[in-house]
Amino acid sequence: MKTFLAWLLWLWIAFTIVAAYLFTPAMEGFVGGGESSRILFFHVPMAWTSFVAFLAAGVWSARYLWGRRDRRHDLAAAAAVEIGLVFCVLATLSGAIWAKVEWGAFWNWDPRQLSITVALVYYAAYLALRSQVADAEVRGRVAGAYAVLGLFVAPFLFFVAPRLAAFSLHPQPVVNAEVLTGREEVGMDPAILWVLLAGSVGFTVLFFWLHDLATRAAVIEDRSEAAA
Amino acid sequence: MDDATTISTAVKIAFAAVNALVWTGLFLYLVRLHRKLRRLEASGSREREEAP
Repeated sequence: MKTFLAWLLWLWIAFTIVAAYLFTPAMEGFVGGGESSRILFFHVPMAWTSFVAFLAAGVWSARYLWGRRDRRHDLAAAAAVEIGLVFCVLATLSGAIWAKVEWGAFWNWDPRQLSITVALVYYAAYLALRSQVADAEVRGRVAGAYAVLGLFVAPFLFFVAPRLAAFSLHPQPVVNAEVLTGREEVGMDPAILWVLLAGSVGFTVLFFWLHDLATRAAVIEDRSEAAA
Repeated sequence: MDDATTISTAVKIAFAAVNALVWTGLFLYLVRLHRKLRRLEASGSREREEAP
């Protein structure tokens, strides 16, 4: 990433952090006079970024499987899953801490808690699968097919499964609720909405930067292992 | 501005400052990693060019 763009990202996320605490109102109906709702600015972008990462892993894997079997594509898919898992764990932990504050327990068998945990297990299994196959070509094919399947599994777990449940403690998705349900549910303060979107964009760009670095490091490691 | 608001704002500023500090630390680490990778890639391509 060019130095200028990197510093722009620093500024963007720093501004989002400051705005999340100081330029947005607390939402009504949450603990601490609504202050606990500020988790939204970090928890949602982290969950969103993990979803983007898992999709990216599927796309890189598809490029590997149906392209020229370039090992860099396979390594890029693995890097995307690794970083996606970090964001997914952070989203799950921050959600659990918030659940303790808001609902009284870290774990509540809420549909969203369940679906994100299944996503964690699914992609942790991807890494376990990779670690068990010694041959790089076979590993690329098997893990690639698994990650391509994830292109259907991840959207289901993140967006469909939680909505199939009859009851959820989780605050309803308010950004796109109107589009999904046809009802006018977009009641979010514009300042909150913009900071949330800014955070999501910032975290997504951060993911692609991390992914670039991780993939390049994996390629160097792969070359040195091949040369040894 | 009453006392409660003053404390609340102070706490928010503290939280924002800690978050921004953590983000800056992560950012500087990534910039360093980026430079290190560039050096490694450059030395790797030189070695491949020099190889018989």
